[in-house]
Amino acid sequence: MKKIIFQNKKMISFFILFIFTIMLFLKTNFLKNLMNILQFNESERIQKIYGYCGGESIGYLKYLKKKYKINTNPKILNYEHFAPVNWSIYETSEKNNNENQFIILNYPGKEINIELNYYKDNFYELLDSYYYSTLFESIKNIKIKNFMESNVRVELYIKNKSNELIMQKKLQILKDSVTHEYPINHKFIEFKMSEKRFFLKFNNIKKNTKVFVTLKNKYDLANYKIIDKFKNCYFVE
Amino acid sequence: MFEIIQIFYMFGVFFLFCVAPLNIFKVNTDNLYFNLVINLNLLLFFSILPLQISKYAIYILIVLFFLGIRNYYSFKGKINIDKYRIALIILIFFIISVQVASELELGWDAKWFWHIKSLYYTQNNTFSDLSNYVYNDFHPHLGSFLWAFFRSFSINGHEYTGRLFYIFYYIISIHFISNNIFKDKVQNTILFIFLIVLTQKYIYFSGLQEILIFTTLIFISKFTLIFISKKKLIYLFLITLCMNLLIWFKAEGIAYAMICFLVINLSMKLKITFRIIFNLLFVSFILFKSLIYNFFQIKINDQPYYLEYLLNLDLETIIYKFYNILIYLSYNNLKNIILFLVPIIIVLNYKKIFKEEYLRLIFIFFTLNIIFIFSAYMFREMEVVFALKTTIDRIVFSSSGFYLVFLIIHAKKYLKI
Repeated sequence: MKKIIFQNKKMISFFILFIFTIMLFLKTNFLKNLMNILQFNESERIQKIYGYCGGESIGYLKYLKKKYKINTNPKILNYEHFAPVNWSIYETSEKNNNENQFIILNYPGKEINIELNYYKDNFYELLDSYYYSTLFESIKNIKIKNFMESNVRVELYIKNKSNELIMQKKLQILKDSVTHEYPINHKFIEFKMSEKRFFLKFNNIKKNTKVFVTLKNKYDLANYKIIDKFKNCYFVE
Repeated sequence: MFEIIQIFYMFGVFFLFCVAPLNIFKVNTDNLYFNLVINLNLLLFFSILPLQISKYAIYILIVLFFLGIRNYYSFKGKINIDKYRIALIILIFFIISVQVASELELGWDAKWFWHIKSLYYTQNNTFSDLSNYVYNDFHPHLGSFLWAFFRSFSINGHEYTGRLFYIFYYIISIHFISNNIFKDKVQNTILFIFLIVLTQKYIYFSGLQEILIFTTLIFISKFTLIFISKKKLIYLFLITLCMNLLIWFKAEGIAYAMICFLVINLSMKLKITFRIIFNLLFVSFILFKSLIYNFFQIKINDQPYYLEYLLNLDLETIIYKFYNILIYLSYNNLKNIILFLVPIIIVLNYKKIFKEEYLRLIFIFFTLNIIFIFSAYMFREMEVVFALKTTIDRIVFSSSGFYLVFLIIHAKKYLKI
């Protein structure tokens, strides 16, 4: 009897062990990962994860480093918001960025339209405003959906670290009769953006109205010599 | 296929750091864990020297190899190595390593600075060259150094091979706390795999340093438990060595080391000589770091924490911050489960707090840990919700390592296994 109980206990223990081992295999996606390693080499896997020209575009950066034997740290501008990508081609012997050469990833053109995020009480937030302020020069236009008024009152706010909305500027903007947009031409440099949140308050629009802003790019490719190009990724000087 | 073989080869390299200087073939197989802690401290010393990794790494490995061989042949008794256990560690290491080798993606902070700091060593620079890196003052360098050091043994030089050491360190620590809880080997194995399933996530091995803090706290917790029962100075010495590693892994490490320092001084019954040695050792480690930082003109903990900032806050903001920290901390404690269970067990055993040394120690550590988490966000000059959203899960995870042993002991008691 004792032996049977002991054997049952042992069997249960092995069964639990088996279940946990299976759980670990499943949790780590073992078979899928094993196949991935067997099928693709490291650089192919890196390209699959980070993209060639798209997302972090590490594939393109590694290609440039190899082809042009880049031994400096060129400035990298990524128009898709990710963590810095310079780690993939970083040269520790170079103290500073090479200011003459740029790598531009996911270039969107001279201007982009971004939808503002409704916050509360007619406040709209330009999400990732600090990131945008590093790549774009100014907010050129505002487009408000289904808003027919010939002018709009806009207040610009910055949220400080104590969570207070501090008004920076008050504007009355007239509608452009051709484009039906509200030209604001507000330069980011006017505010010390740092990591603060940036808001626009519209005083005479309906709640939850969709609002877009057009941002003007700091970098115009026409001003640079293109050394290498793949889709919308560029190596310029 | 080559990468698969390389994973096993890297395990062999890592394991050499467990086979010497102490003899692991003796009856006390805990020497394996002691060796790892001792060798990491030696590597810390090497990381500061004005020597390139390529000049000494291979010699360290050769010395360890021969010391291991000497240990094996010098021991005359029955060799006390459990092959089954080693095979299990290799299996778990292999499973997690395959995930790291396949997924490859680095965490945000790893891309931001940890990997770049490791590149300084990989590209044949030394500790003094790190000062050229603009974000060097944010955090210490040891984790990045280990990444580069072990990468130097890799045959193809792939970046992730250095990170495999983090897996090894983590697995060894989990094994340390689960290898002798039950009399039955199978039950210990179940516990070992269960803990791995509970605590393992790819993100922890993505070059972020929290796993190193988590693992080192596991070691400290277990050494403390052993010290309470055996009262041998060697364990107190090992605790201090672990605390030394903490202060070199990450800026927060200094807070955890200070908490350990306070907890051991306040809650443990120590002989006066032990207390003096422990305090002197810890103070000398802190002084050593200060001297090194002073010499290389590195700011200690260049983080956005200011008392002035807190004093200038109005009551409404303080309440706003406090409320958000409470909400996010509670949610993350629930998600992490370890930090959620600890206060429950403490409350259930509140009568024993003044009687049981380990329970008292956990209680004080937990209290100080919560105070630390609150003050880290209260003093931080940063938008609190953004800071909480991006970091609190990692802070909760890194500190939870200290409670694992405590939870195992109590789970065993409550479940009557």
